[in-house]
Amino acid sequence: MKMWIYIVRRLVLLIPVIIGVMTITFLLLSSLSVQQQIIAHFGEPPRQNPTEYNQYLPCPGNRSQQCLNPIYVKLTKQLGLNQPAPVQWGYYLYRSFTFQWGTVANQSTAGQAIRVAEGQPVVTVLGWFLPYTLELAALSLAIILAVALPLGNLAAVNRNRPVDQVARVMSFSGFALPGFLLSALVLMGTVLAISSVTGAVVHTPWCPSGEATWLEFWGSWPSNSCFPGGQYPLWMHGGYQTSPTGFPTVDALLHHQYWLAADSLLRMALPALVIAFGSVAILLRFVRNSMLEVMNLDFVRTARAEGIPEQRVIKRHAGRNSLNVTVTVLGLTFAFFIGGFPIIEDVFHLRGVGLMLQLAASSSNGSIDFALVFGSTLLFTFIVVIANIIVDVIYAYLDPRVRLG
Amino acid sequence: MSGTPSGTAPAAPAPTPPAAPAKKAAKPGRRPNPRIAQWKRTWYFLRRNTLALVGLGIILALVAMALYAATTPLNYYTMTQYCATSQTNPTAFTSTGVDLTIVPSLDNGTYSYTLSTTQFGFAPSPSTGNFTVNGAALTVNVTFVAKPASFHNAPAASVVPTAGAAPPPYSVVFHESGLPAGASWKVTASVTSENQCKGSQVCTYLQGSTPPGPGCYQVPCTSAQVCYLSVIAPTITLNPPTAGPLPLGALTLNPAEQYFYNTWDGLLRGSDWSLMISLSIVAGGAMIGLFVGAISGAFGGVVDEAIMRLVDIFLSIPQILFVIIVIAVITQHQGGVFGLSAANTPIFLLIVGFLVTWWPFYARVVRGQVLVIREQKYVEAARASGAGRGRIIRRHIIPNSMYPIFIQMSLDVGSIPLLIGALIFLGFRLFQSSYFPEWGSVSALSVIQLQGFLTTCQVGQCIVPWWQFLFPGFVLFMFAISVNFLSDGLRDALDPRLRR
Repeated sequence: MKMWIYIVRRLVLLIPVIIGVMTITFLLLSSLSVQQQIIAHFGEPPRQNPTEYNQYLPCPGNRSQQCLNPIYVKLTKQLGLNQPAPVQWGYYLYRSFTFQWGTVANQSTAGQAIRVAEGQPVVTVLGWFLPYTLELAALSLAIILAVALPLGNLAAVNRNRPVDQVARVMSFSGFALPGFLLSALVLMGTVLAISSVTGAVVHTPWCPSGEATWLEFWGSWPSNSCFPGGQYPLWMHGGYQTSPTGFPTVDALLHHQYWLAADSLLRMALPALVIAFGSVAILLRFVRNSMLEVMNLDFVRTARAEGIPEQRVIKRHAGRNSLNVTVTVLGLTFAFFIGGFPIIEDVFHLRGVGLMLQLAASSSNGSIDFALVFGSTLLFTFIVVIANIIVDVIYAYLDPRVRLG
Repeated sequence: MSGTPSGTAPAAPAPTPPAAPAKKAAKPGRRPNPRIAQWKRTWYFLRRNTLALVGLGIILALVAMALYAATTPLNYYTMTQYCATSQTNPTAFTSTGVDLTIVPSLDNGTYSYTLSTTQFGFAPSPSTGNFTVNGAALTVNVTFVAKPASFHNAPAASVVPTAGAAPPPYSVVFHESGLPAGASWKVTASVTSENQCKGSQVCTYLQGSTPPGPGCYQVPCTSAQVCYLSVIAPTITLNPPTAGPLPLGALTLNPAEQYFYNTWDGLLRGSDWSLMISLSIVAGGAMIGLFVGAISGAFGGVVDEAIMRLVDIFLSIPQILFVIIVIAVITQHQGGVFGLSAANTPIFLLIVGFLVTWWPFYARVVRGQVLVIREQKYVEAARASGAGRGRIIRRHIIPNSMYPIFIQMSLDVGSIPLLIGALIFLGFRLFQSSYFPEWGSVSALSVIQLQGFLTTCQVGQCIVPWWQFLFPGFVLFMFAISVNFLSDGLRDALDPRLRR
C-alpha cells in the first residue's frame, strides 16, 4: 500500500469515531432541558427581555392566560427538538459538522470572565484560544521527547544502576503527583527562589514597570503597563488574542517585538515543564522497557559480535528499533497529555482552550456554559484523534510492515 | 485414607496447633489447591520486592486509618469546624422563612422587594463587602413561588444578595414573568449561614496581646490586607513568627475569618471516603469492563468489532474532559435519583459519572487478554481433553485474564483521588459541602487557599502556609505512589516472563 492510500484510509476511518464522539455529546446534551439546549445554541436571551426563551408567556390578548411562546416554538423547530430523538441526532450531527457549535452565554462563568466572548459563536471563541494551546502543546511535547528518549535509553543501558533508579522514581512521582499541586508548587517555588536570590521584587529586565513577584509568571502576557502608552498594541486585541496567526511567539516576532516573544516563551516554560513531567512518567517506562527488549534481540548481538562500537550499537541499531514502541505509546498518552491542559492553564492563567473549558464548566460565577463545554471537549478530542493519526503515519513510515500488512 | 492424625483427632478434642498442618500434609494423593499455590508463589516473590512491601505497608496503614475514621461519630459530610474564641462564636440560628404577599405592579418584568430585619428574626450586622452575623458570612436565599402555581411555568431563581450592599434592610431584585394581573405571591425567604461555626472552639489571641492561657493559638492580625502588605522585608521566610503558631494543619489562615478547618482532621476522616469512592469506581469499572471485554473476546466477529469501535470512541475523549462533561450534565439532575436520599446523591452521581468513563480501559485490557489466552496451548489441551466451553472460560480464561485487570485496578485506585482533587480545583462542587472530608478535596482546597495567599502578597514578603498543602499533598502522593509500587511488584510477581 502506498503511503498516501494509508493516510486516506486512516482519515476515512476517522469519520465513525468523530460521529461516535458527537453522539456521546448529543446524548449528554439532550438530557438537559429544552430551554437549556436552546440557550446552548442561541446564547442567552438579551438582558432587557430575560424571558424570551420561556415556554409559556402571558397571552397578548388575555393576560391571565398562559400561551405558548412563539419564539420558543420557532427555536425548538429550528433545532429540531420537536422531532423524535434519531432526527434530533441527525440535526445535531449536521450542526456539529458544519461548525454551528452554539453561542457563549452572557450569564455563564465564561461569559462573565471573558467579556469579549459573550454572545460570540463558540467556534470563533475557540479559534481565538486554540493557537495558544497548540503552541504550549508543541513546547511541552518537545520537552517530553527531549527528556524521555535519552533518559529512557540511558536507564535501559544502565539497568538497575543509579540512573535507572532515578528514572524509576521520577516516573513514579509523575504518576503520583497531582497536576494542580505540582503546578502551584512550581509556580510558588520559582517565585520564592528568584525573589530570595534577587531581593524582594522580581522584574523581567524588559518590563521594569510591570507587576511584581509571582505575577511575572502568571498569565499569557505581561500587563498592559509594559507596553508603550500603557495599552496593548492593536494586534493583541486587548490581551485576548494576537493576530495575524494567533500563535503568540510567532506574532510577536512578526511584529518585531522580540522581548515579547522571549517573555511569551518564558511564561510558557513552567507550564510546559509541569505538563511534561506527568507524561514523561508514562513514556519513560515504555522507552526503557522497549529498549531492554530490543537490546536482547539477535541482531543487536550480531552487531556487537561484528565489533561495532557499543555507542553505535545503542544509537543506530537498538535505539532506532525501539522507536516504534515509543511512537505508539506517545499516541496513547496523548489523551492524558491533553487532559492536563485545563488545570495547568487555570493555575498559570494562560489564555488557552483549557482555561476556556475550565471557565465554561465552572458554576462558581454564573451558569455552566454547555455550548462551550461540549465545543471545547469536541475540539480536544479532534486534537487527540488527529494526533493519533499523525502518530500512526509516523509509525507506518518507521515500520513499513504496518501499511503493507 | 490418611494415617494416624485423623484417627486420633476425634479421641483428643484439643489437639496441639501444629497437628493441623501435619494432618493436611499427610494426606497422600491430594494435589495442593492450585489457586492457593499461586497466591503463595505471588506472596513469595512480592516479599522479595522492598518497594512493593513498602507500598503494601502504606496501603495497610491507610486502610487502618479508614477503619478508625469510620468509627468516629461525627458529621460525615463536612470537616470539623474550629472557631476562634477571641470573637464571639456565632450562635446557631434557623430562620423559619416568612410568607409574604406582594402584588406585582406589572405583569412581566423586574421587581424589587425589600426584606427587612424583622422578617428574618435576626439582625444582620452591617459590614461592607459581606453580610455577616456575628462574624459569620451569610447567604440569603429567597425563593418566590407564585400563589396560583398553575400560572407559573418555572420557579423564579433563588436570589442571593450580592456583596457590597449594606443591610439591613436590603432589597432583592428579581425577574418574573408569566404572572396574571393582580395575582398575589407567596414569597418564602430563608436565610442560611454556611460559615456559621458548628464545631469545637479553639482559644486564640491576637498577636501582641497577652495569651489568655496555655494552649492558645496566636492569630497574626485582624485584617488580611494589613497582615500581608505591612511586612516588607527582603527575605522570605517559610513560617515567619507573624504566622504562627496556628494549629499545624489549619486550612484557613485568613485572619478575617475567625474559624478554620484542620487538614489532619480532613485527611483522617477523608480516608474512608477516599478509599470507598476509589474502590467502588475501580471495582465497578473493572466489572463492567470484564463483562464487556469477555463478551467481545469470546464472541469475536461483528460483536467484537462493534464493541471495540465503541471503546475506541470512548477512549478518544481525554478522560478528565469526559469526566468533566459527564459531571457537568449530571449535576443538573441533582435532586435525588433512584430513590436515594439527598445526602448520598452527589457521591452516587460522582461514582456513576466516573464509571461511564472508566470501563473502556478495562474492556480493552480484558479483550486483549482473552484473545491471547484463547490461543494458548493449555486451553487447547483442555479442549482436547474434553473440557466444555464454559469450563474453559471459567477455569482457564477468566483466572488468567484477571491479573492484568488486577494490576490495572491497583494502578487506577491511586489516580482517582488525584482526579477528584483536579475536578474540585477546577471549580466543580462534587460534594455536599465545600469542606467535604476527602483527600482530593482537602488538597485541592489547600491549593486554592495557597493561590489566594499568593494573590494577596504582591510585595516582596509572603507568608507561605506550607503546612496547608504539604500534608494533603503528601497523603495523596503516598497513596498514589504506594499503589504504584504495589502494582509494579504484583506485575513482576504474577507475570513469570518478566521475572528474569
